[in-house]
Amino acid sequence: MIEKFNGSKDLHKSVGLPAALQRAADVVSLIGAWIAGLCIVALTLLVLVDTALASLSRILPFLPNGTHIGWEYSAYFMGSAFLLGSGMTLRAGLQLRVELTMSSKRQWLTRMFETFSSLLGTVISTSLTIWLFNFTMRTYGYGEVSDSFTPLWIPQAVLTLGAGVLAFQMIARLVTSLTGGTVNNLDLGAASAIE
Amino acid sequence: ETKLRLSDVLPEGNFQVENAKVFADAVAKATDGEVTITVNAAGSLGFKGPDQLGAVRDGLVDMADINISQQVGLNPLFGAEGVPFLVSSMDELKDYHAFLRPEFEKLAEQYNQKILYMVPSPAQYVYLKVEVEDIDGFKGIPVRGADKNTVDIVTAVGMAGVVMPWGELLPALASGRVDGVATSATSGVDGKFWEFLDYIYPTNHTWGSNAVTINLDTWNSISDEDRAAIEAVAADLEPTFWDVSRQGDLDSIKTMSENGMTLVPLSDELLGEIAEKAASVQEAFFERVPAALPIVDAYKASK
Amino acid sequence: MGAIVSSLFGLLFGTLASGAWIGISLLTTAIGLALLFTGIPVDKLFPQYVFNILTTPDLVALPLFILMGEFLFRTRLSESLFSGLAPWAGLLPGRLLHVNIVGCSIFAAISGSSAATTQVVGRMTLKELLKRGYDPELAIGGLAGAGTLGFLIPPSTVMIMYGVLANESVLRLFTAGFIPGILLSLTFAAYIMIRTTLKPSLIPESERALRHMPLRKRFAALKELAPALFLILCVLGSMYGGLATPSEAAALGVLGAFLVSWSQGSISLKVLRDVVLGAVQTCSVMGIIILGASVLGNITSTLGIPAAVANVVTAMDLQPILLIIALIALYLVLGTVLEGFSMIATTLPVVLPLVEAAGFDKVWFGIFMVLVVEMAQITPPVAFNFAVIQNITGRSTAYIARVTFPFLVIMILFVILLAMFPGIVTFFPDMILG
Ligand code: NA
Ligand code: NA
Repeated sequence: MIEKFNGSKDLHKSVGLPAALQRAADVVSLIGAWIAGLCIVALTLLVLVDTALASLSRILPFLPNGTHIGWEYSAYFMGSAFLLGSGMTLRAGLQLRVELTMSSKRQWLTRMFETFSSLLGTVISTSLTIWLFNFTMRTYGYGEVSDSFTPLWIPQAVLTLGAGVLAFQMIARLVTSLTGGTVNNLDLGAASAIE
Repeated sequence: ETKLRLSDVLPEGNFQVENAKVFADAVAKATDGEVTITVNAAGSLGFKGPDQLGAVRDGLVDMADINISQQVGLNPLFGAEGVPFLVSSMDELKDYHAFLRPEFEKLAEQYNQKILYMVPSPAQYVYLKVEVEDIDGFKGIPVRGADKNTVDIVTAVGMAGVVMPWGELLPALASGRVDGVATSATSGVDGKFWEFLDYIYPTNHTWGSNAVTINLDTWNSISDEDRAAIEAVAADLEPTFWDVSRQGDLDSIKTMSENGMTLVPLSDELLGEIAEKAASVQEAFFERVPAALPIVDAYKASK
Repeated sequence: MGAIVSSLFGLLFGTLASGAWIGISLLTTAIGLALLFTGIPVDKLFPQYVFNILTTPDLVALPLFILMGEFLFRTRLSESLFSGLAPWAGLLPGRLLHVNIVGCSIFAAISGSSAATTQVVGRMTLKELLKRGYDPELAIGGLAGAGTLGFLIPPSTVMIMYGVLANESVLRLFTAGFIPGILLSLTFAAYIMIRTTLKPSLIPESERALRHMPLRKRFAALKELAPALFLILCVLGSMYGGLATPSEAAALGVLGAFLVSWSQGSISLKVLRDVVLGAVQTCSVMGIIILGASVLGNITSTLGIPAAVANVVTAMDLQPILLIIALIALYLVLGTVLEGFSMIATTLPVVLPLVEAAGFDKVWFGIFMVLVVEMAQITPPVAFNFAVIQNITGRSTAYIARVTFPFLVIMILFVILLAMFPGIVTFFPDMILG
């Protein structure tokens, strides 16, 4: 599913503000990715606990037959993981695109496409972050809760944070691309199995 | 010419969706095509049950067929129809609506929308594999409910309630992970319950309606004449829609019986035992939804 | 409607062609259409969509199968599959070439992904087959073909994604995958038997000795399949035994894969780190694409595009079989440049209503989509399974494409067969699930 391309192992030793911005975005993206990892572990454990309770409670009647929040919370963890890990995944050059256009031999062309797509990505991810932030604030204001009485602003705030991580990485990528830096850092993240 | 979109999360073919389409056709006719409504079923506009009210409020969609009790997350009062074991037939429900509906209409206005018509889901039953004589017979049977209220009620009666999405229910029944379901008869036919379950108990444990609402800004942009026409259509069709729901219940019970299921009328003894439990379930309910208490009191006083 | 549809294609292909990430491109198209053709406040609509789509409970199986795949990658399953299957494959004409096919079929019943299936099975078999002097064309082509079974034999990440986007039961889709999956793998095996019978030189002479082996040894080898069978039991066994729903079965698969790799001593802190971060990366890749596709699906419904398209197609009164052949051609072309998930995501909102209008069942079309996605995995230039095989063998894309071509043709004919006899797909889920 994942193919690495268009990146270089030895990053240019870029300096100045753009480089600092990119480093900051990388740190934030990596933290986001680790929280995303914890979300995936948490959702796995939650689903396992629910499965175990459903079977065990038939043998041991004193046990509850489920956590009653498993369906809901595992979905919150999933959504959080999807967005919180997206900044790091983007920086590692793994987010999918139609690669033909990006593999042109003419470097100026590749860079132009890269800058355009970073700009588009910045506009979309920044808008989504702002919209999600206001959405979360409205939900908080209305005091909306889910069927399990969980305040909905909490998972929404985590999604907002995740979109924010992606937006930050997009902005850094745009600046890096404009200033001629290396946009993909293959070393960020894991030596992934090809999925 | 006004073109309106109506969001419904129920699937094509569900009677509420069919009702909405009948309503849409009647509105088009009554307004000489000035107001047309497109019914989008199966959640195809991207909204889920619990956010339909908010979607109409924010103008994300013009109209919605809203499951009222699913809106408790916005305001607990939306749960007021689901009082356990209060109403035992659709006629009683009609009486209860005389007190409830004005409250819902006020509430809807707070959320920037207007209720055009309300139609209840058919009566609720519990379906089991076993024949139950007294209340101890319910004890510990894993029964699936669609929401927390239903699960709380069946649990209070002694069953082991589980919340589970509809899509997971049939495999769970097939494998014996749940041995019963609490839902309406129409859903029972949808799920071909006779393949897994044998006895039908008319518990009437709770009731719930859908309301078709329209965003107030949209409503106010329609001409006085057309608004009057739409209101007339809604008032005219609503009793018919109630009959559709009632008939759906009768037909579904017939279908299930023909397929070998047995409708077990609750014995007086069992009814008494359930009524005993009902008091405490209702108490817990009013603790969660205190605003429902005065409405219920007024309804009870009228009987 | 004309303006809407041309804006849809203009925005989508324009942004895709200029290198935008698939998810961003889908989101741009959706937001653009909403701004241009609806009066809906997008700043309130889209966050609601994002929240609804990313927290869909039916999708939870996806991150779980991805996590399981990351663990499996780090087990020694490939070695044990080979040593368990080789003594039996040696009995058939074509000998150990069948280890590719059977190994992929077995691993497909554990893993949800076809690249992972190709990877894990190929790592061991290709090295061994080439060392023993088997015809490299049949060995490599067979692996590339059979590896795609990872999506068709359940569990399957493609089916999960299709199920969510098409609003169809994932369990039903899984169940529908069995029979076509087994048939396709038998067809591959039959092709290998025919080829090697017609041209015995494809198999080294020395391999005839494989026919003679004490039965005791053959049976002793079977115990090597224990880890694989244990994992199948965790995933498919728990699901069809009624202990677990599809998402829960996936979680049990993660637990099982963890236990297997732990018992083989493959777990370390470094490995756990790679497993988790690897899962995060694959999850966000797929999550963003699913988000974009679902949002675009919602907006096209809002604009009434699917209904309009369905009306047009219904009016054309196209023969269903012609429609399917046209769609195969369309997806073969798209599949050369698009990766499978993006292909489903970008086309489903328009194509599904069209296919339903032609009288095909949603489950049947799910299996169709799985097969065209499989083909996309083996049609260059964008061919993920080729990247895997290239990694193992060092051969060029052109070479791999050439030797895989017969298997691609088999798959195309197989899809046409399924279109002529849709019952092959639907009878089994109808029988099991009612
Ligand atoms: Na599979
Ligand atoms: Na391809």
